Amino acid sequence: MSKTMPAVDVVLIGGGWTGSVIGKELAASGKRVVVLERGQPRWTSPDFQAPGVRDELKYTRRHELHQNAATETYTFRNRVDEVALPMRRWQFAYPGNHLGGAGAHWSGAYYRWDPVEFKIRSHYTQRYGARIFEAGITAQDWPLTYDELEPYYDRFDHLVGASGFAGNLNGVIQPGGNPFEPWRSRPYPNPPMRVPHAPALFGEAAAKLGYHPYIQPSALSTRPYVNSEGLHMNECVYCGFCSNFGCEQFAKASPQVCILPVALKLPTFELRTGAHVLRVELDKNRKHARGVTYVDAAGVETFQPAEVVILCAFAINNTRLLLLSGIGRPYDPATGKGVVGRNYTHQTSSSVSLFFEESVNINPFMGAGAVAVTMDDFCTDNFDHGPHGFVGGGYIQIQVVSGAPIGNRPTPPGTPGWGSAWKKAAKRYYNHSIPITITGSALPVRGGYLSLDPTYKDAWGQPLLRITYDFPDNDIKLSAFLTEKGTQIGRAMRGVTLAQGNPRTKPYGVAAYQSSHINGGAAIGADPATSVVNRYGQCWDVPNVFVTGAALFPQNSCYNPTGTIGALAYWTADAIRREYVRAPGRLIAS
Amino acid sequence: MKRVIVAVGAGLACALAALAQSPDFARKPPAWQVALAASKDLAAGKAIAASGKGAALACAGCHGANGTPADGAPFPRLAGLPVEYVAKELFDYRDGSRPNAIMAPIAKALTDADIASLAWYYASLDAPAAKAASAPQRAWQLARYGDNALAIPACVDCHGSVVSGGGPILPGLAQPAAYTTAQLSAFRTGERKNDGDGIMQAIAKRLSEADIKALADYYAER
Repeated sequence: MSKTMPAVDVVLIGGGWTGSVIGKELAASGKRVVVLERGQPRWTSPDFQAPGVRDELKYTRRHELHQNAATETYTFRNRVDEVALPMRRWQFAYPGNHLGGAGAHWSGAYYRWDPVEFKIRSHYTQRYGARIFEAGITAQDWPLTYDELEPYYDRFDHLVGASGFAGNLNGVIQPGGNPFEPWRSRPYPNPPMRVPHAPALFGEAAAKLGYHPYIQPSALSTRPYVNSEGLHMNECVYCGFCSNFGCEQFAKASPQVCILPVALKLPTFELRTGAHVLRVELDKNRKHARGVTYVDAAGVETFQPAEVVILCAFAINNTRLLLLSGIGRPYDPATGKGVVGRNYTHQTSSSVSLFFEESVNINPFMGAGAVAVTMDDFCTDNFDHGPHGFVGGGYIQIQVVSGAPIGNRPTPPGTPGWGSAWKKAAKRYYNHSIPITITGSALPVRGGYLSLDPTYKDAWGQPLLRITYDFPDNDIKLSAFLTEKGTQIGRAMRGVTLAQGNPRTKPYGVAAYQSSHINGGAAIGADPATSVVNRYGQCWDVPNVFVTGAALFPQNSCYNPTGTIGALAYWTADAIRREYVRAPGRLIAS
Repeated sequence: MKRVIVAVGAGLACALAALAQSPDFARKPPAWQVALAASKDLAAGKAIAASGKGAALACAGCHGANGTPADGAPFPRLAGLPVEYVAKELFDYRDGSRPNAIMAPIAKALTDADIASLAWYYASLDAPAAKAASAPQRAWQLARYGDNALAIPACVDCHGSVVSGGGPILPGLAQPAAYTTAQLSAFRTGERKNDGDGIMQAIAKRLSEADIKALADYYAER
């Protein structure tokens, strides 16, 4: 049983940030647009209202807003000579599902990437020599610069109601801000977040050691705000239910708060939920996409013809759609040839566990997903890498995300995992412990890649995406360095009785959460031999297919991805609206 | 446009340290919080409530003998409100950030210790029991679910249960209809603006007259 829908100009796969931004932009320019969201519609009211939304068991432990691992998951192995096994339950990352995607359940940490991130290979080679890159590292320059992307970062700032204090306005360092911040053309639309006790203690110690702590920028509105689409956002109330939850307050920037209410009023914009896309359909010579095939909410296989197809699914799920559709040559780690699936990375995260005297009350439940005092002294190339022999960096911070009672049970090393001794320690430390969080960059390696699994299939009978990956030594060295720096700060903090660093070690595993920032497989680049899409996100091999989001990252920055993903979405929308439409079906000239 | 800092050499790092004055991240407690910590004299609070003090009229005259006004009176109940909320509002009446012709002169006649005593006293009283409510559907929707099209979250998200409230400066909303109407209207016009960064002003501006009436009736019945 199958049916065919009336043809449209543009079909977008996924109703998260990039699908919503590009869909709205193109619909407003007069294109007939359909967004296909595989999940259910979810709105701030009524779906995310208290008390129902404040349910750690439902949203965090049982993954209410995450991809359903029982119907579609990833398989994983460290090396090509191993057999990959499926992840039955999410632990390493939380892929998004339902309207708003990961943009509904994210934390709201909001960064721009440093200019160096966009020219990583040439910058480090020039400053330190080519040998700073370990053999087998496939890091590569972006085909666009920070300066080109700045106006698009700026647009996204004003869509999400970003909060923060500018550290660098048009090249002029601003007292009190982050002196390492890339230049920005306008201040943040909203002031920085209020600082809880633990981050204040961190900031005090970091400043004493000569570092430059500042309040982390966030996409949680810090005051009543009317955004660039004319939509209202409320003030964050620091309820602590951001990460893995929808925001009850219309304060955390999300597609359903910031853009979809406007898009849905356009006669040219249509949203279909419960629409699970199986593949992009190509014509006979495989150079042109005809549309997409999806299974609709009633289970009927449906063909949606379209002139342009834009992949806006969660991160690496876009890579899987390319592989399932036969777009681009799959990467082969044995030969290094092929491109689709190449340059998979995650985030080199680590922590320092801190335990305090009983007089220091952390109140971990009084927080927000993105409220932190942080420092960029060891991010990107802000310090001399010469003596260390690795590429990249990371930020060090204390954030007060949530005191959720199931997940937040800190006990000092050596405490038994159960019984009365555990109970005693859990009670003693619940309000007197918090980690320093370290978020490090990640470099791609030749043996790390994404491919279709030969054995395991999803609920629709299609091969699962297989992750083959282990950390390069570079990132292990980076993590050891950053974690030692973090431990020194922890020891300098008032009231700390024990600071224990937990650096990332090999092998890479999928049984511990390491952020939901999983990237790559559809690298952006200037050379079709090492990239899947050109500088506008347009597929080299099928020019009427565009790819968005973190699948494009050739390597990962230490900075959280959403700011850059949003800026790139506006960048791609502009390229389609202004350039592609002049010669549809052709590659846009750079 | 080039970023000013391209590489951090030793000299530049020193310049940076001078430029970036290290911000003070520590939070200063508000004055009302200091006052509450300094004194807790329930008997003194009870005396002022019953008999007044100097230019401060007796609270009981309007707010009722037990902090619960007579049926139909336009004054808010004080019994069982969070101690922090009562103290903060009296400070705000006194410094004018919550303007009110009746309450301003009363608050001005009170010392920090008087305010703390009154706050502790009223917080110690039992709130009147909730009544069974039969409210219009619109008020119930706003109170429990908010309004997606207006970007208004549910009242209960912050204010919690109707009598005991949702936190230190988040009172329960069970109050006489005239009081609720007056407060939402004052937030809407900006006459009342002691709500931090304006969270209630922004919400009240998006409520219609009919919404305000519906909410006032709903919370009067609770």
